[in-house]
Amino acid sequence: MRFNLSWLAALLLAGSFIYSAIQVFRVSRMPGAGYKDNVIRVIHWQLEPGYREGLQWAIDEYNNLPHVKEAGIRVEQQGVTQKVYGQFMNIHMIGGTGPDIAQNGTTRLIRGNAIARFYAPLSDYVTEPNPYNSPEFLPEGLDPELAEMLATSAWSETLIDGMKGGYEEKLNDFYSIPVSTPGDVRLFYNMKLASEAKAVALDALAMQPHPEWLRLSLRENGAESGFIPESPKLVEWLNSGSPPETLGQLLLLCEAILQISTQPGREGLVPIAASSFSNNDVGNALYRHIFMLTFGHELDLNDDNKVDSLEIVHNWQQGRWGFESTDAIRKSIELMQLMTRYYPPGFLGLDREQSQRRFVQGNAMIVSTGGWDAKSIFEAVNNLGDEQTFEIAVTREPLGGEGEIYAEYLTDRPSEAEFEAGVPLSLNKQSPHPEEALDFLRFLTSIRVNEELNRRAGWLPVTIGAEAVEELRPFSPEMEGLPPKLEMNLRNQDLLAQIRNTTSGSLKLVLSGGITYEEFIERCQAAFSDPRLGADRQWFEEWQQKNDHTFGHDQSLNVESVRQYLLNDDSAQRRRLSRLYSSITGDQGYWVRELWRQYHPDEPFPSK
Amino acid sequence: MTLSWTGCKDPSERISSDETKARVQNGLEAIGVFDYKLALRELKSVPDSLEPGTSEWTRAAFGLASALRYVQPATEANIEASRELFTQVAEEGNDPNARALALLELAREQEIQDFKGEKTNVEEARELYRHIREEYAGETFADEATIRLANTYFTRDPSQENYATGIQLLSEHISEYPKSKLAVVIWQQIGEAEDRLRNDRVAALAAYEQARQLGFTIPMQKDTFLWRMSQLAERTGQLEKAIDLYQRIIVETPRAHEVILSRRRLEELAAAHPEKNIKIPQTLDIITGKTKPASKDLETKESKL
Repeated sequence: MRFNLSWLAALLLAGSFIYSAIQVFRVSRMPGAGYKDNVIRVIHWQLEPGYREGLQWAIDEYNNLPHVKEAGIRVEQQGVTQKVYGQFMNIHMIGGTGPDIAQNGTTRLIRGNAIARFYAPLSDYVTEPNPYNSPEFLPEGLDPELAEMLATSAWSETLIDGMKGGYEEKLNDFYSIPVSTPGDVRLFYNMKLASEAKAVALDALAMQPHPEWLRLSLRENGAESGFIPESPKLVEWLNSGSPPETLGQLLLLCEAILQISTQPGREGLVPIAASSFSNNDVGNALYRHIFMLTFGHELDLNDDNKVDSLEIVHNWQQGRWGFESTDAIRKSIELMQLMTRYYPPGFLGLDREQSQRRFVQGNAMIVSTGGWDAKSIFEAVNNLGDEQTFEIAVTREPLGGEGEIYAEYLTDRPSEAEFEAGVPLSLNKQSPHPEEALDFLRFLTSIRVNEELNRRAGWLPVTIGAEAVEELRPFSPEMEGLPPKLEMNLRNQDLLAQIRNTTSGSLKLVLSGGITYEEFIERCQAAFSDPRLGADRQWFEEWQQKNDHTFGHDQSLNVESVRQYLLNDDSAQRRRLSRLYSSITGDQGYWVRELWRQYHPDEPFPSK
Repeated sequence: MTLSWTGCKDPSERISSDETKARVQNGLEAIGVFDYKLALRELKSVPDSLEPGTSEWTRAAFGLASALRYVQPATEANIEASRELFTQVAEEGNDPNARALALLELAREQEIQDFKGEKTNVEEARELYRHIREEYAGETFADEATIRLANTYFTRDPSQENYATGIQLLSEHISEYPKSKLAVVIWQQIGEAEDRLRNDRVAALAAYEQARQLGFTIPMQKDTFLWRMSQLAERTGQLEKAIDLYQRIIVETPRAHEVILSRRRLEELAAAHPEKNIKIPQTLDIITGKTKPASKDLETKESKL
């Protein structure tokens, strides 16, 4: 028999596996496996430039506190890439070797009710004031009213989101403490290019007659075409250093950039650096939501300021909205089609990095992305040579101005009031140092530490009164606007896949010119009308989903009963009350059937 | 009656007292973190090794019955075994709380389908709920049984007559036990039923108002309920009430989306009814923690007022 090299490889592989298995077994049998007696481990996936350094500063500050030194405790952090974070946490939490503090999320195992299995509920702690916000820890010169609030309010109330980012609705408890927030999507303007575009527009305005591109951009009284009326206000803005304040101004600048891009040597220039990354697509990521918000309140049947999948379908059946009859849908598609004129050719084949690079290199006037990219964009632009660098302005997407195109639809943006702060850190139930770990989380969210941590990290702080670095202030959540869930969202994950996929697929086709708007309507209406997989089926699915929740609610109630009455856990009483309430509201999906009965009295409830 | 479902009757198989206690504790703690599989493993032979009716047996049997009912996937054998154990706890358990909880579980098992093809028996469930109401009258378990009993009239055989029966049950119970620990749940349940099932908005608002005064069951939903109440108030022509609710939303739920909607509505109402002297509270800037007037116009309006 001849020796085959493959056998050697197989033997090596088997040998390595056996050795690893023995090591894992040996280590896991050691007392306190995974824990060092005096170390609190923090594991997270925030590997963005600056985040670990910011957190390390906070850790060093904490480790140097006299009472921490005295206790012989030391905090250490470990960053794990998001790609393997889920598997990493699953293995360690089940194996009992998990960190004391872990960023909550991204694992398929530790979610829903399973969060309660691995992480400690924090309600009893977050209702107490944060001792690191007491007067001796507060920065000097703090507003007395703010200082009083921070020192005396419940810990949860000292965070700008009310600690919503750490609240688990299904479990009705706080299971993590958010420490940073990246900020939402904004438009980044290259102000050097914006000024150049303004100059081109001013020159064109001065010409008589106006060049054709400007004539097509200007909107005369009562006319359907054009974006923006010619007015002294427009001239005043063109002479200012401000970024666009209205959609009409934005579109005019985009047209001017298209003109500049026809000049020799400027061919690569585009108005908007779009890509396949959804947040780079200004029309779809920002404006579509606004159009769909305009009629949401008419569809909200139970006054919860949300339009859920059943309300979408039910209101369509009742004729309260339609692909043909609702102008906002047609107009939103019009605007999205118009926007694609300003995107690079073949933008769907480009990725997020290419889009950012185009903007940073001065080849696009606008890029739309979230605060998480702000630090890298600002740093890259600052590192350009003196001749290439440019000023960046950051704003929310402008709304419609007086007399402008789509002005009647673009009146309100989605509000960011109920945003949830990020980097939620949870306390491992098996941690041998729960009090110390909790103490560290309090320290991280105290005003002084949270402000400095996030300043170094290039993120927004979460503690009320903590100041963000200048560049990030435009990313702070804005209260003004309409509840975002009032949007009639055809991408709602609870909509039947057949409806969702047909509408989103047809939208892509109509935007790319693959089908006409009439064909788009026809396809979408066919999906909703499908007797087997359309609107009627949505009723059945909704009922089934609610009915399935019945078991989950009963299970949760049983858990709290055991905790309260058999394990004498006093904190379970509050949770048991809310579980009972969740169990009776919507019990067995009765509300879905009742709604059907009210509107379809002579028809049987749809079946599968 | 002793347990026989596990077949673990041989005394030699019985486990030591310390180990039993540890397993009972581990099993119950496993349920406390939703780990019913582990609970089943820890508890499956424990009740057999204990004297029925003792405290430790009651805990073990209730825990095991719970694990059998809630472990997934649900099987006919597990549900049957769970039913037997809950029955035993209800009859022989030495802890009145565990006995009442077991009865509630038994009633609920009759009411809903635990696995595909299982036959439910809502009349049997109602009987059990009525039994709990009588046996535990004045206690939280009777409130819970009333809530469940009423809900059977909302969830089964929809008719205005049934809805009225359910609401009557709740109303009579709350007037007899206004200080019940579950009063807020009952008021919210009445509100939902009046609003959604009977379209009686005045009655719904009145019930929600009672719940508001007690503090809503889930504090994080306060903004939603205050908004819903404001809309009920507007639709029933109770303008003063609506104004009060909008003002509460701004002051009591400063981070909610509804703050902006409330402020805007108050602005409209203030403009439409100058004689009402409507106050528009300052809104909280959640970033700086400072309060601020809603808008320049309002500032002027307020100072004029």
